[in-house]
Amino acid sequence: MAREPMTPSQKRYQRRSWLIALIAAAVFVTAVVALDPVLHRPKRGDDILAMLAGFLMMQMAVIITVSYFFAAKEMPRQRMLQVLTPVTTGVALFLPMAGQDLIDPRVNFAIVVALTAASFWFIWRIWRTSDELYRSLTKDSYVVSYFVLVIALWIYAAGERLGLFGGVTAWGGLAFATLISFPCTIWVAVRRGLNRPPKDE
Amino acid sequence: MRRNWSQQELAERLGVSRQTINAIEAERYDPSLPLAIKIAKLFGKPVETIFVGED
Repeated sequence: MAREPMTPSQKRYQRRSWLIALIAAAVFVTAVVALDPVLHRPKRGDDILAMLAGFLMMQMAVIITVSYFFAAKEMPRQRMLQVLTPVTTGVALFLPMAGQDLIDPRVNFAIVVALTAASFWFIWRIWRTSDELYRSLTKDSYVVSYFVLVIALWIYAAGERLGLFGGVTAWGGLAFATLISFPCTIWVAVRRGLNRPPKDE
Repeated sequence: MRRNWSQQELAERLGVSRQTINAIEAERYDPSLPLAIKIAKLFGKPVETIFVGED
């Protein structure tokens, strides 16, 4: 079946999406190169997972910021909250590792708790200002993530009980749960057609 | 039923995001009843005329 030709606005949307992806990739590569010495330091497996999750959170903030400047300037307050949420979550993931030798553990912990609280407050504010599609997207993402995590926990718990593997820390579990939320959210967004260009003009 | 509105214009009239209109048009999302009624009122047609497909 022949594809429908794209409208001018769909072509613009596609070009813009590629440009945003390129800028995000450039930022990611620059960040990885800049943090190269830290990344090569011998680390625990859960720290590597947490660092990856933190990077992806920051990357998400970059993509939302860049796309705001290219797309229609709608809902600036909501966009700001959409940027602040992954930033606070990303910093909360980095701090227990990066600030370990620099900040007193109790102060570090207090900052992480404050950042987590702020992140949840931002999510609540986004929920309040979202329309029904975004609320449905949020709910579906949480449901899919929950099912994936329960299945993963089920398999891991059985293997641990049988003495086949073990040693997962709460920190590693948190990083894993954060990482899992990315493909789940993307899958739900694609199912809802959020990757489709606008059908205008 | 043609109004020649862009998705953005229609979204603004309905108080939803452009993505919501895109998802409804692409049959990737079923709107809530209040939104479906709002759309029907805006186009001056019954809900079933807009949302029920030809079987």
